[in-house]
Amino acid sequence: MDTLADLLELTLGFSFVLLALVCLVKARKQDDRALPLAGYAFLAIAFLLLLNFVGEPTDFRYDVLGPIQLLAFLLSGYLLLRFRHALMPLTLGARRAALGVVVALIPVILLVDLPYTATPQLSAGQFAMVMTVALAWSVFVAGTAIGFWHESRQRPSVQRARLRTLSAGFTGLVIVALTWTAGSNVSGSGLLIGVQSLALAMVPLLYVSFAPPLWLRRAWREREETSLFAAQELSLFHPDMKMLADHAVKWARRLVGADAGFLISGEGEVLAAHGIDEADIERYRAERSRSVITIPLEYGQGTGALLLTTGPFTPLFGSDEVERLEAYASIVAVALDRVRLVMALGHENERYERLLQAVSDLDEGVVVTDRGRLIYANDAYARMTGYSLDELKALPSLLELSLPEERDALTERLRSRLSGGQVEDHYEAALLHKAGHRVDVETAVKITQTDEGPRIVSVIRDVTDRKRHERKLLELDAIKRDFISNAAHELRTPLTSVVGLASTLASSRERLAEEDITRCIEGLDRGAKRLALLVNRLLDFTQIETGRLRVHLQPVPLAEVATKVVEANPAPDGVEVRVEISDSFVVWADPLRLDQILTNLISNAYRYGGRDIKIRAEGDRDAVVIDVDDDGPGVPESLLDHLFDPFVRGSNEQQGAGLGLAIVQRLAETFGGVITYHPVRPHGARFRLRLRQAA
Amino acid sequence: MTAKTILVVDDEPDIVLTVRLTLEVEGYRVLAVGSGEDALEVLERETPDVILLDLRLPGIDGFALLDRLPDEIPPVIVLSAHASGPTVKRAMAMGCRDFITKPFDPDLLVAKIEATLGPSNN
Repeated sequence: MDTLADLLELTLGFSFVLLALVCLVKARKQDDRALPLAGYAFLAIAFLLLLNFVGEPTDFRYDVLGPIQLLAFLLSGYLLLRFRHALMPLTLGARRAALGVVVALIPVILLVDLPYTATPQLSAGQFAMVMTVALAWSVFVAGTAIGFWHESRQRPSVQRARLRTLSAGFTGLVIVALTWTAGSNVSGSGLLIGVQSLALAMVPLLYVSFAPPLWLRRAWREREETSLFAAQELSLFHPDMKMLADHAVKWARRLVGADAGFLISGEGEVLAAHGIDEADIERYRAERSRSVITIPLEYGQGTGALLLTTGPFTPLFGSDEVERLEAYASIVAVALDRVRLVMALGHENERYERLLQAVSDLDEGVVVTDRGRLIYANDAYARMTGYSLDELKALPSLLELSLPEERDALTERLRSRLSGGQVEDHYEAALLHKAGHRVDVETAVKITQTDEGPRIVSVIRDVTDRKRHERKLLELDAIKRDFISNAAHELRTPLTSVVGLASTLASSRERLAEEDITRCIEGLDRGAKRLALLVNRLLDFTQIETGRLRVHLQPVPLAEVATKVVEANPAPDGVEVRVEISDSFVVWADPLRLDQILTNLISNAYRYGGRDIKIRAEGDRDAVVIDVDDDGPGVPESLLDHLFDPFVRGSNEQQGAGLGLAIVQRLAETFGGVITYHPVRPHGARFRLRLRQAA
Repeated sequence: MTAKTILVVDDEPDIVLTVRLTLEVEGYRVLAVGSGEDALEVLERETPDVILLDLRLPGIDGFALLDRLPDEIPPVIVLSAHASGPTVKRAMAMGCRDFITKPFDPDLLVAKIEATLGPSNN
């Protein structure tokens, strides 16, 4: 027995014991179900190697220990295959085949008599049997090595490096086993020592693949770190919190070759998860598992966490990884804080914009200006002025929108406000709309100091409609005042004669001649009648104007009414009146009021017209046009514009109330008709009444 | 003593009748015209002691008439239904002696005419 070979074999044996222990301890630490299998396999190898050193060779040992070594060898191969299965499941067929080979080989091993050591030479049968066992073992272990290599190709770099190291270790074992077995019949210790050395070299390889040291783990990580730094800058400044968390988890997982990872916010919400589903997240959060590493994330919203789970391919986490992850987590926390602040600012902005929009929807213009120049304007202001926001911003000063006559006062007001003077905060002004018309506005103004200087905030309301309404009311008020004053005047005249005549009669009756007394009484009668007429007309007029006049519309035979009116109001001497109306015309009217209209028109014709008066009617499609014509001087030009206004009357009119045509016009309107005036050539007046025809 | 002559310028016949009866009973001589034009015509040949003038007249109205009256004219008393402040003020500014609002008390009319003529003429 060569001493060097023995020494190597002994070293190899203890190395495998050590390797087995590493696996078993680590399996216990990490709750790993695959690692123990590797550990037992290495124990079996250590056992068969160390068995060579048990005492002196005896016949018993030759008979028993040889097969035991071979069985241990076969078992180690099978266990390594099971180790692979635990990490990367084999098909059921493959597992059955492997088990079949093992079961088939056990009786063969037991039946074939095998020498305890490689010396002396094995018989051909014995060699064939040992080779068969070695080949089976090699297939198991090579399958495992190939499986790891294959798996490594689809793993992130840290896991890939580890899987490849494992694969290389197992490949080395296969080479050693095959060479050793094949060379077992060759005498001379040279080959044995070479093979043993090779086997010994495999041990560190296997060792680092199962328990990679810090320097190796760092080396494995290096590529990830490089690409991480490249990506970090982009991913950590991502504006969206979910996306940022997503990137953070992705990179953290790759950085340490973790199986899965997720990130929990300060409020406990899962912001991102990789390689894990929701149910598993809940499970991991509920129970503290040794296979989960938790890195706290301290940021503004509280303490969140970055959690990473180890998988079968994850190299052991050391304090280095934890430190590295903690440093990374602090960067992630800062980035999350930044995103949260940006989002909060965004929300705040959104809230302000919604508020301002609500103001805009109320048609309240809001404007912020810097010495007249527009900084901000809402839609309502743009609508009010007719300009787009861009057009408004292009103006050197919003004062350009004010009325030229108000501009100086507004400029002075602005100057005074900016220099801290006391200026009324509420005022009324007007704007020039882009289309050129005037927009009356009510403005409330406040000055506010900002970092960039004083800003003037104005709330502007369009009061054009209200102003128009106010003006209309003033006009109506003036009309009413005029009407009352006119009516009073009209009443005064007959009242004066009634009061005066009655008073004269009462105080001086004895001193009056008989004929003066008669004239007095006649005057009283006229005055009283005129007062009565005036009061009736005023009542009529106000009733129509206030919409309280009741008319009873019905089909009225026109010729009949006209004839009746002429009979009741015979023409004065020297005047001829003719009615030329077909009996077929029937109009919609109130018969009494139609009588009133025609009476008024005929009376006017008698009073102002010439000697020839005609009342004619013509049918239109659905209307009847009635003309009352005279050949007098016609209505004077100066009266034409106000002909149908109350208290307008002809120059030689003394008896009327000045309300006749005003009433006629309004009555015609209550019938749905219309009255117009047309001069007649060469002279004369034509009042044309257009009424609806009753079918 | 001859009767004082009063010129009434008014287009309302019944007002003229009232004034005429009131004043004739008091011994005045009353001339009446219905328009400014007629008034100017009468003033060319007559010199009344007092003119009673209505402001609202057909043709040239009372104010226009006041403008066109010769400088040396008898005192004018306005007789009007328009008794608003500005109207009274304007009439007085144009040299009118007094202002009577329609409807009026006949005794007041007589009193004002007497006051205008002065105690010596009474």
